[in-house]
Amino acid sequence: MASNRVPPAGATSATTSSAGIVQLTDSTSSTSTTTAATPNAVKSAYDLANGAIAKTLTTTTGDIIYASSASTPARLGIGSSGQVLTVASGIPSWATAGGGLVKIATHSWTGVTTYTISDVFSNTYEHYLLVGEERTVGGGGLAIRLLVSGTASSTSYSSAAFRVDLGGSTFTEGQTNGSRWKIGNSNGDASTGRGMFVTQLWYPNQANWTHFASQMTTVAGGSKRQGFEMGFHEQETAYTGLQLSSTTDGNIRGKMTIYGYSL
Amino acid sequence: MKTKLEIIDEYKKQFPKLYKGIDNETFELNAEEYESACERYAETAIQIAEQEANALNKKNVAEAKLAALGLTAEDLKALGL
Repeated sequence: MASNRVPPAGATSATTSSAGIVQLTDSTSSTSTTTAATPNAVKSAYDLANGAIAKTLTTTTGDIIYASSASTPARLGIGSSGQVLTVASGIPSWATAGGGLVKIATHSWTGVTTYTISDVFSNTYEHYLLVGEERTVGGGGLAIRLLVSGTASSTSYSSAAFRVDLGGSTFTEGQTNGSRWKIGNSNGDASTGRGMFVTQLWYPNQANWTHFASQMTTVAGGSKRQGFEMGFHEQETAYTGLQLSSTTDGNIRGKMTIYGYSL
Repeated sequence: MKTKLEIIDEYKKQFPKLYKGIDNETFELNAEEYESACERYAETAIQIAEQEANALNKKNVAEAKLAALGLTAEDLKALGL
């Protein structure tokens, strides 16, 4: 039998550079350069490779691999910003989050005359909620403009406002074709006290009028101004971002979180 | 009331540099943007001052009319007006 043959006299061991006798091995993890794999070892390696998922299955950053059926891997391309992973027809997929607010982004700004958020409105959500605080300098208050392609719209803002200085005056104001909406009262940059606001934007990313409403409460020194302002922007434009400024065009500082949701 | 140039001069002394924020980053305004921002600030300041002066003037006129009738603003509040 071949396995019982004795190597010829003078036979030497094989190397990677010369022929010779060689010892077989079943190992699939050895790093030896002087032994040879048996068909058994080759089959073990083949079985492992045959059962593995090809790395070429993914093509894009953020891709996810899932089983489209038992033992059948498939690729799920990355979803859009703000989408969540869900299950539809028994397989995973990306979908617009429903049933609640989804935090999109948090921004802060200080010592600037304007603050631009370029890309926040999309068709992922219909409506947006801005929750924040601000310290505008030099009176006035925090204001917002809608923005698309890097340009903020500075006309067509119509709104009605009702404000009360506790212990002081009451204001009822209105504007048509204004240059911006006021979303927060100034606190004069006081180190004590705050200006807080909650602002709602309806359909800013649809080519129709955007509606807005803001609640603002301020305590700073002797000023305790509380107010509401609401209205619409009379342009049939889909906006992708917003720009903050002071109603006095002075410096602003503050922070806010933007949430999105759909009905 | 201060002139536009006076307001701009004061504003420039207070803020020799101005900044804008974009997506969590801060940038210094270039010369053209700086001049534009100063001008916008002054125009807004004048507009606000004019609005306040008009409102005060209307208030004074109304109070004078009330006084001629022997009334005060407190009397109107008491009437729910």
